[in-house]
Amino acid sequence: MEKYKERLYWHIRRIVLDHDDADDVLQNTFIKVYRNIQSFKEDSAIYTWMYRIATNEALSFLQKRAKFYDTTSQELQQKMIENIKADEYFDGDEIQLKLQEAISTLPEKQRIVFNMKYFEELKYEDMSAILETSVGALKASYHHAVKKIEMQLTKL
Amino acid sequence: MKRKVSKNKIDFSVPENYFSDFDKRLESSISTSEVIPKATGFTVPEGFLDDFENRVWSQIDPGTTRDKTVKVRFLYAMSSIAAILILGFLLIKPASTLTTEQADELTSFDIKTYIDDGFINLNTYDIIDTFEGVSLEDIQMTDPIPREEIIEYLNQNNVDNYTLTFE
Repeated sequence: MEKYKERLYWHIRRIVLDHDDADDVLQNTFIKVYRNIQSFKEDSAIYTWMYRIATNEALSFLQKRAKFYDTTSQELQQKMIENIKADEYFDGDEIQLKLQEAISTLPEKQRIVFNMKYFEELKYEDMSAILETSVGALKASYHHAVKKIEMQLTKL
Repeated sequence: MKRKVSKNKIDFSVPENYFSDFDKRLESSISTSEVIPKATGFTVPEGFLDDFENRVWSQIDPGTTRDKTVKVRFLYAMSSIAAILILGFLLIKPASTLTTEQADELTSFDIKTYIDDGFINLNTYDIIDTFEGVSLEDIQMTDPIPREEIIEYLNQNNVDNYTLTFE
């Protein structure tokens, strides 16, 4: 837990954006890891397995929240971005806020691929194991994501 | 730089290894962008991760932290005593479970006190999970909360527009 908690926290935080939500999801991630450690197959690295659980937990959390508020995930993303401005645990400048806005406009898969590659600097092979997607598809997703974000940021 | 002679009839050439290194160069050119900042601006409360493990362990096994060494023999003895007490209780008072009538007598104040006292550790995740698919209109309260109290609570707890816009 000591080894992975920080990496997983930031992975989750970039998906759910809010600190308290990230804390809840991270706790649930480790509870699931603990309860399912018997079913972990050692043919994959443990951290890719934990990353997969964390990603699924974070996405499931957002889906449940969207359902709870009877809204679409895209609308939810926009609301989350509006909340960031008032978040006491966000002290980003205007560019960083614009970056989050740009990321929030991406489709879910591209958003996650972008975060994992750009900020977490994961290898495509590891991302492929975590997201169960081919390396080629991940590269394409990342390429599109970067172009879209750059375009939005240069519009400033 | 060495130049490779094109096999094409058109008299153009490309640098050596241009095509074999193309993927690598493309990848490195988009892995860092001059336009996109690397910092996100997200912060965390100081020392947040320091007691994280204890919080997780307390959820997995309430009352247990990694610092505590639980003696198996002691647990075994306590479990045996508990089992005897439960058995005795069930044999003597088989019908003493909480009835519907008793449950109805619970006021929202009782429930709030129970939660405030730490008997139930509810987080946002649990609440969403519990009330998934339940409309607010379907929730009946025995003691309706006056509007003034709700507004006061929202003001005191600095509830932002996020929640309110989703009415």
